[in-house]
Amino acid sequence: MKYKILTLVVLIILCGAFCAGTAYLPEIGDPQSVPNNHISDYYIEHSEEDTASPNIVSGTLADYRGYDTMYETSVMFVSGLVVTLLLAVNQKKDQQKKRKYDVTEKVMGAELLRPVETSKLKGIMNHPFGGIIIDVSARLIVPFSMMYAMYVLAAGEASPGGGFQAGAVLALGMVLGRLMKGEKASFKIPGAVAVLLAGIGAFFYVFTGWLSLFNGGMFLEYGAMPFPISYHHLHEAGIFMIEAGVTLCVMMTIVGIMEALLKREDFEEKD
Amino acid sequence: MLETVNTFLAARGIYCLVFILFFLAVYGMITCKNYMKKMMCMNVMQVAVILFFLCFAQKRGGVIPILDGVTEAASGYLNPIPHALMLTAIVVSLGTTGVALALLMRMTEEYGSVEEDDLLSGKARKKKEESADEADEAEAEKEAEKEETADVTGKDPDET
Repeated sequence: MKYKILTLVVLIILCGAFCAGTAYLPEIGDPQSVPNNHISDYYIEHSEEDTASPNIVSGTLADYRGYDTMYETSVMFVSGLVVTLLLAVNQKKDQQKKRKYDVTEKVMGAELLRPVETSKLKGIMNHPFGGIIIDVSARLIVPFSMMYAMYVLAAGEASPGGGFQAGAVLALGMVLGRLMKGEKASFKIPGAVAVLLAGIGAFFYVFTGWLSLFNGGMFLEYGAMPFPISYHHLHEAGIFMIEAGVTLCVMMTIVGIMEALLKREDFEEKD
Repeated sequence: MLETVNTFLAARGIYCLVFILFFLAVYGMITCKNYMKKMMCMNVMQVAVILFFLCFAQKRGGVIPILDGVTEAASGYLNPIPHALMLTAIVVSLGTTGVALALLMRMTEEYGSVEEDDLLSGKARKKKEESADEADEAEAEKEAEKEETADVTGKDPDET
C-alpha cells in the first residue's frame, strides 16, 4: 500500500512536469509549426505527380516510404509466426496423446486411432457462444463487413482506405464467425495455412519491389515496372499490388494468432 | 486568469490529456500484480503514444489529406506523415499483443499462474513441481502395470 502511494506521488509529479513542458511543444493546429513544415509540404504538393495517388497517406505509406511499410509488414508476419511457434511446441505429451487418440475405430478390419471430435474437448473458447440473437446479427454483419473490406482495399489508393485497414476488417469477419460457431464455422483457415498465406502476402510485397529491378529501376520504383502502361498507371498498379500483399499478410496473421490461441487452449488442463 | 487557462487549453490542452492517459498506464503497469493486467496497461500506453503523434498532424482549417481537386495549398491539408506512421504502429501493436498473449499462455502452463507474487515467491514453481512429481509417479505406475500385463499376455501364447 505504501509503495502504491509513493508511485502515485512520483507519477503525478512527473505528469505535472510533462504538462508544464508542453510550452515547448508546437501549438495544436498551427500550420507554421515544425512538424507541419519541411517534408510534409513536399509530400502534399507533389503526391499527385510523384505517386499518382490522391490519397496522400496511401502515397506516403506505399510509395515515398515503401521500405518502412515493407518492414512493418515483415514485423506483422514474424509476430504471427512467433505466436504459432510458441504455442505449437512442447505441448504436454500425455494430454495430447490422451485427447487426440482416445477413440479407436475399426475400418476394414484394422483398428485405427481416430482423433477425438473437437466438441468433446474441454476448451472454453472453442465452444460456440451466444444464443440465437448474436447468431442472427453476426450473419448480417459478416458478409457486409467483408464486402466493405474489399471496397476499402480497392479504393485505398484514391480515397480513405488501404491495405492494413482492409486486412483488419477482413480478419474481423473471420474471427467473428469462428468465435460464434466454434469448430462448425464454415469458413475457417487452419493456423499453419494462415501463417503460410501471411508469408506469401509479405513475399508479394517484396516481389512487387523486385519487378522494377527487371527493367533497370530501383527496388520499389513503381515507375520502372515492366508493364506496357503509362507512368501514372504503373504507380497505381504498384500501390494496389503492395496493398493486396499487406491485406493478405495482416488478415492471415490475425487469423493465425487466433487459431494458435484457440488450439492451444484445447490442451490446457481443465480437470 | 480564466483567459490564460482558456488559451492554454485550446493550444495545448490535448497534450495534457495524452500525458495523463500515458501516466495512468504507467501507474497501472507498476502497481498491477497480474501480468495480464500489465499487458492491458501496455496497450493503453500504446494508444497514448499514438494519440500524441496524431496531435502533430493537426492544422487549423485543414481537411483530411486526400486531394479534392479544389484546394491547392499545402496548408489546406492535414499533415499526412503522422497518419502514415501511426497506421502501421496500430497494426504492429496488435502483433505485439498477440506475442504477449502467447507468452502469458505458456507461462500459465509452466507455472500455473500469472500473478507476480506467486511467481516471485516461488510458490507457483513449487506447485508445478509437486504436480509434475505426482504425474511422473502415476505414469511410472501405469507403465509398470502395462509391462506386467504385456508380460502376462506375452507368456500366455508360448505356454499354450
